[in-house]
Amino acid sequence: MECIYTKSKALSAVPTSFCPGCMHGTAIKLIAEVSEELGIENDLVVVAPIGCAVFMGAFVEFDSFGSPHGRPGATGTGFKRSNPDVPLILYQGDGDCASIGLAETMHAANRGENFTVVMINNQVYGMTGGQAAPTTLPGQKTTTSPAGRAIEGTGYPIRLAELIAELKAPKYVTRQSLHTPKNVLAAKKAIKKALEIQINEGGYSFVELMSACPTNWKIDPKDAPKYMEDVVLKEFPVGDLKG
Amino acid sequence: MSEKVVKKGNEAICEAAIRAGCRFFSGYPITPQTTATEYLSWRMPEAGGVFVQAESEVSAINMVAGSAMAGTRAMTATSGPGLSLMTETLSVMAGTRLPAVIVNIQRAGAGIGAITGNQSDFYMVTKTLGHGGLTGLVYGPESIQESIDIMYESWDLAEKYRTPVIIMTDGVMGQMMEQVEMPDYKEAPDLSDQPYVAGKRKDGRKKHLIMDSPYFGPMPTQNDNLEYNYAEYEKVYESWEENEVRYEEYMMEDAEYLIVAWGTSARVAKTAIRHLREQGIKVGLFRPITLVPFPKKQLQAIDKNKIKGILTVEMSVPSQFHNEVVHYIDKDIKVEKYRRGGGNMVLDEEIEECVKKML
Amino acid sequence: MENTYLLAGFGGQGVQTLGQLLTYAATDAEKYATYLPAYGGEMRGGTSNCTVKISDEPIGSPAARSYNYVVVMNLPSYNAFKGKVKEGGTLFVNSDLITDAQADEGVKLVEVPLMEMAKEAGSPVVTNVVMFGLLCAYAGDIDLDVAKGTMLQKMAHKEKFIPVNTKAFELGVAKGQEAK
Repeated sequence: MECIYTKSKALSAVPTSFCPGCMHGTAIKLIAEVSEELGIENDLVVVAPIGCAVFMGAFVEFDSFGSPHGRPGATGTGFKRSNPDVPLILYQGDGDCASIGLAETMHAANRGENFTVVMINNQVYGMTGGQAAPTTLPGQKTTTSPAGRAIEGTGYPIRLAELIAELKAPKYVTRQSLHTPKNVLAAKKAIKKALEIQINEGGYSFVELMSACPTNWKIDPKDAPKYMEDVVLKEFPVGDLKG
Repeated sequence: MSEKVVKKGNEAICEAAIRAGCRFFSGYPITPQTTATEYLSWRMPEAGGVFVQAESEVSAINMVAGSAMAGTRAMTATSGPGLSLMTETLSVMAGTRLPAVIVNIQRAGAGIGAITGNQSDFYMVTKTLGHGGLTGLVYGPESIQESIDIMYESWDLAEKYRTPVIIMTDGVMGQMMEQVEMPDYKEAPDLSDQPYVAGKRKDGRKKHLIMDSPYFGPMPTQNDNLEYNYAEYEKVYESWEENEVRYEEYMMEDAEYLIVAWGTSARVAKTAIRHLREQGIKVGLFRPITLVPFPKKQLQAIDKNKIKGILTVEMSVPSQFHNEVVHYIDKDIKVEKYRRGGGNMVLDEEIEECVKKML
Repeated sequence: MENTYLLAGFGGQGVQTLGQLLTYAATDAEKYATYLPAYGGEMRGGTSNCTVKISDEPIGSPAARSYNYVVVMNLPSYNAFKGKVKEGGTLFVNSDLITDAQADEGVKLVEVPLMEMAKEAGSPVVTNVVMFGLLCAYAGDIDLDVAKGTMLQKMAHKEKFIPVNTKAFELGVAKGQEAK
């Protein structure tokens, strides 16, 4: 019988433990598939720092290391500079990448470090129970903004991809989404392009992936994609920003 | 070939790192560390290694951790405020058992404090590295030569015990110049098979899940494994007490009075001791070289029938080292202290006067 | 035998280079030597200073409460350090910038027209080389041939400076011998 689809060799036998409707599993699957398509499934190293991203290590067959919260931009720099031939993905959440680790993220991008950042943007701190993040939408209710995020005092959502695209060094900056099959395919293409740049010509790439956290958004998982389409993507439009 | 040169302390300790096989440095400029970072900005690339000026000390130590996980001999250098910023990652490194070397060129006091030499980070590095109660090997050399010698073997120890190693110099030792002997170049070992190294997998090697390692072990739950593994780390620390304690006994054989000091203070005390001996006063020096492990047994063994009094000397107000020493000294021996703070140096003339007061 | 030096002036007078030269030369003369610069907060009022120790034995403290030889090249340094000379020691003052200098009781005063001597050597910037020659000849810690060799090696980056530095050194030596 012809095999038309099978689980990527780069995924481990451990079933993912993410919440219903969470899109981390999809993102991890895409990274695994792309690594196999590029023939780097034995070589790729991932940084899986604090936040729900940390679980990635268990679900993949790649070597992986953690990082203190927010510091993958720095640990990744140290690792990659010492191991320039090893392909590297920094798999970070929006709190890790855009809040506590903003300095490390921006400076790594500005130096044009030769690695790929995949940032999962679900607009909340998922692991700690749904607190407000720099990406939380105006008016969005979270456990630390029970009346909804107030612009006065907490500012506007940080569009990290746009900030990074302003820098000269990054080669490829894009925002994609994981809420429809069509978007998932585009996201996979983006991850592949980013890794190809890293491997073939060298350079920094940033792939922001819009994701859902129905548990902390307190909405039914099946309604999350529509909410993303109607509300979230208005604030975070998808598309290539650079390269 | 080893060679004799006159060098600034900061440059000398960095050159020793290069010769020890260090090929990654990341640092952030802070007085009195800057000459170390400046030196390695050209010397490290010349030696075929990587130099990165980080955006902060937080970033610098994380780059070092990343490089260590690539199997490279990596280091950073900083001073007190920078070391404060590094502590979270130092505790992570102690927990993951990552080998790396950190040089702390101490300055004075809390916060901004003063930028001149001091010994005010003693508690900070000897009690625990950051949060979590773990530790690493900590050395307190007294001279540029001793800094070089310790630096030269620091990664051998870091890798043997899988631990961060901290070398505590200060602004005095960092900025001063004197003649030193530089060791030969040595090759760093191939660390690619080590469980704390990622990438470059040879066929069939299982994946490494590096910073999660303390959660794995023979126990049924993550908490139980964490407890189990930390208890194993404790056994390593206890083995240091047996095997890695270093100290110097200077003119102690016939001594009736003793100075106990470490680092720059000890070196200054030696001048005072020579002057006191010329006046017929029998004084010696006990000098801890390892601050972790601390030479507890050796301090406990100081004989009350032989030693009439002890003077601790340190550059820190409030006292830190003094309190630690007193803890181990026989209660029948009188212990006095002489210390200077605020970035002021201890002076041999003042040590002499303090000893004479004890007679 | 251990001699201690405190060297002070304003930035640009080359006191740090002077301190380093003494250290290099003493080491070349097979003595023990340490150089310790003051930096940052220690440098107030526009002065730059450093301490040097030269000894036949390994050196403990690189600093002291008072010094055998104190060199002050400008007025703020004179005010700050004239009291730092050991009894029986010598205070060297740059008499081009410090007039009516006085030394404490038990301290010898040597007035040196440093800038005038540097000009005579051929360049106003070699005051530190004049002082280097002077200190070597006066204190006797370092063999003069060794001192000259070290100085030329460290200072003469370009061949054209060799005559000027040599002259400056020799003028200093002559003054040092005269002042002894």
